[in-house]
Amino acid sequence: MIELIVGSAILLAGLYFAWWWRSPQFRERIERPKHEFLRQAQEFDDAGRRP
Amino acid sequence: MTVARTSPVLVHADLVRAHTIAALAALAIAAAFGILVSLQFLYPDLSGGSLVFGWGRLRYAHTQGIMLGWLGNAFLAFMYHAVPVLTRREVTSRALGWWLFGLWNFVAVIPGWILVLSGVSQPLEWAEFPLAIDAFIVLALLLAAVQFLPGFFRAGLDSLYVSGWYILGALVFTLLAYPMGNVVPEVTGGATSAAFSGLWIHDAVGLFVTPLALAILYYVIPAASGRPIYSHFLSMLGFWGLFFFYPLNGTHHYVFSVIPMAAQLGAIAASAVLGLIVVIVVTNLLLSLRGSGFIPRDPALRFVALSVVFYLIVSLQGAAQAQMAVNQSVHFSDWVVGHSHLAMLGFATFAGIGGLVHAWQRLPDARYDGRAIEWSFWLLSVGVTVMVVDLTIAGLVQGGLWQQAVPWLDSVRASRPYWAVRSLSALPIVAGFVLLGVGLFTGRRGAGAQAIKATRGPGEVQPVAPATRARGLAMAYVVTGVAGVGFFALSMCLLGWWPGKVIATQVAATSPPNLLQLTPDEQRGRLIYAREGCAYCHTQQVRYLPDDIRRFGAPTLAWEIQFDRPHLWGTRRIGPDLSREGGTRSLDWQYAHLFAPRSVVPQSVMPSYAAFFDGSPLQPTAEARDLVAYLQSLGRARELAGPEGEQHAQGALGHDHMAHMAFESPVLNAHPAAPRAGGERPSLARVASIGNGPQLWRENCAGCHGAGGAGDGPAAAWLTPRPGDLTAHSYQRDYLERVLWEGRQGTAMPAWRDQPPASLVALMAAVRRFSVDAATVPDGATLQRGAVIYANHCVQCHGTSGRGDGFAASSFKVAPVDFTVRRPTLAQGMSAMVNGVPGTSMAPWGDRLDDVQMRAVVEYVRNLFREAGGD
Repeated sequence: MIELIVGSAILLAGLYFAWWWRSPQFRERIERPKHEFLRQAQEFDDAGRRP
Repeated sequence: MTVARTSPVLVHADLVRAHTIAALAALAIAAAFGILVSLQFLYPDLSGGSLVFGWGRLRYAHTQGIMLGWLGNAFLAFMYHAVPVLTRREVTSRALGWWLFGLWNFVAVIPGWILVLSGVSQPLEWAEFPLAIDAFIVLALLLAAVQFLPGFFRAGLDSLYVSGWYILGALVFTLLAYPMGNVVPEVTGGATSAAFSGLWIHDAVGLFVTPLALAILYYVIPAASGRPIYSHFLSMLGFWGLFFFYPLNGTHHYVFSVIPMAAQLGAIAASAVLGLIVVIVVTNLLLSLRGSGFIPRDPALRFVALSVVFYLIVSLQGAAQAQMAVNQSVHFSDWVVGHSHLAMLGFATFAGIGGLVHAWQRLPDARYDGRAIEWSFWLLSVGVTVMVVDLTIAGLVQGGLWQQAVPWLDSVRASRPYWAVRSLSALPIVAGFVLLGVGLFTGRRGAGAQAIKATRGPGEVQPVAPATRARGLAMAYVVTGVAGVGFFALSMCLLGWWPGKVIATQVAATSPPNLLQLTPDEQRGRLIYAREGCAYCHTQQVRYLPDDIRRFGAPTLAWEIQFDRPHLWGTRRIGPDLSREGGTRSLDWQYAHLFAPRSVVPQSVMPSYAAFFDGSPLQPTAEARDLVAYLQSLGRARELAGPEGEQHAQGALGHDHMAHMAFESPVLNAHPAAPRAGGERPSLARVASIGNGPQLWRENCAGCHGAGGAGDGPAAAWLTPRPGDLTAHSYQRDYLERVLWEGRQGTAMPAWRDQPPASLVALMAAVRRFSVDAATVPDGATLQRGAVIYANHCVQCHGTSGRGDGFAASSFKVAPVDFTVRRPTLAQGMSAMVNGVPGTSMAPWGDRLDDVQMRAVVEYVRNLFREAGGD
């Protein structure tokens, strides 16, 4: 019985996590740094190439 | 003006340039050390007996130079470029940067090399620089934290890009781990010292090198390709996974050791999980490379792309080799050397070059030659691949041979072609490094910026919404601080402190009372052993494995090595394990071996330590005497504990099945060369010779007995008693079998129990062919006269029947000759009578007997010989 409860809890937690990860709010928040970084890196390069 | 504002943020171009130059200079020096080390396997006398450029010291300087000199400077150069971009803030201080540069290079790396080459070092893997240097490295790491970290904290952690996390993690964790790995093994003893040392071996790579290399990969891939990484979430999952599991891997360097099995199994499991996490990291990185082409155009991107592939291979390899089934056959072999080169020369060096090239392209007015760097990439790729594949195969061959009942030297002989290929692989690698230097220091000024324009990807930057400060992430400082220190503390507790406690309890319970410690000269010898890097070729831990037990004897118990500060367990076996070396060889053999290793072991690749002698093994300096005294002490404590000590320890260990393997060896010292009197030996009567006696003779015996068996080999003059003149004797077959199996106690003649029976038969045939002795038929009167003289003067030692079993015989270091199994020629017999036999109890008789009497007694003992028979 205990295995069933723990197993179900893990499964539900996994499903919730999957939904959370796919949710736009989460993705926007968690993936934001990669866009921010790319912008910073390109700004740096562009500044370096300015005449 | 060395500082340039090249962008919205200020990058100190002079510091990028300075650390790049220092990195390449250190790379050239450390690589040269490595090449000299590899060449000494092929030409062991290459250093000409110099201690400064001896194998051990160069090996210490090589690895420390690569980690601190090359990679340390490359990472610093990259951070001076990357941290301002990541944080949009200047680093703390340019002046601090120059202090850090000076401290790192002129107070730590260069003096570290000088001290190590001068003999001031510690025998700990990845921690060879002495403690005085370590203090400055910790200070430099502190300065680096002050230089780079404040920008991250000011920028806020809630939107920190993954490269920033890795830089933060590396600086914080290395500051914690470096003192632990360098100091704790010195103050704890034996197995506990090894447990902490094992932690550091993994932390050095996992918490210093890997995070900074990954910071470069995560930085350069999007910055050079113009596309964001595939998933920041996966990158953070990888970050926390790596920092949690990396420190928990340490004990996998000492699988099958006396360190508690629970710690070993935990580390093995953590290694497997780490492999899975690396798969996540690498998947994310490879998906981030999509669209960059199979071979990216940008040289920096090209280097980091291959670095990702190397990272995947080395991590999966590491996870696999930690597993017991693999570890038992490849550990201590060149497989591990290949693995470490794949990590440091493949993954980390390619990442480091990628980071340097990326930063260099963006330096104003820096020279840049893209074609040279492209060539550098191809040459290094070929060189590293050849080296790693070669060493991996070599490791499998060595491991396979060690698991078979074949002589140790077979593994050395089989390794030679692989060692040659490894040395040859240095050619493309050196050419690659040279072209890297050409690419960065020649070419047109500003060509790097043009290369960026030509190779950069689409640069589709998505609009980024203003940061929304998440409630949970506002606590990020606290969470990361607690987690960071917590992860490290957890690893210290689980793989260092707790095993140490268990080991201490075991030592207290199993150690015999009144344990004999090392004498002052043995202690000095131990320091010499450590200083010269002996532990990097000879392990001092017999593992809890049937193969180790069969080859070396009883596995090492924790109490045997409790005073070893730091431990000398070693990580590689080029020569055999020395845990039970004491009493295995004679003193004169040890001196001859140190002075000219190939004089007594023609196939040996050990470097000469002639510097410890005043021109001859007969004139050892105090250092040679101390070193040999130490070697002769190895294994002594357990020998002296005797059966009572074994029973006591066995009782105290309870039901620990693994620990009881320590008592499963039929003999404490199973070294095949250790002289042994009596006991069972296999019958060779029906074994056919394989006919390679002359070759076996050259490879094993000629060093002492000479090519023609006349007892005049290169080492003969240094051994007392001198090696037997085999031309001047006839031997009974059974006697030869016995000597080959048991050795000759009190002489330098070792046993050859590791030789296959067919080889022993072939050797016996070779020995018997040397003899010029022939039976003679003396007249009866001579025999009678000889018998009387023999009865009056010789029976006390040689026994009434000439079997060497007189009543005084047992008190002699070298047993008197048994004339029933060994017949000297007339000339040899007369020589022994006139001159005696130095090194034995045979005195000269020329002043007591005249020539006729001596000849009569020689004829008499010759007549005792029986061609066949024996006991």
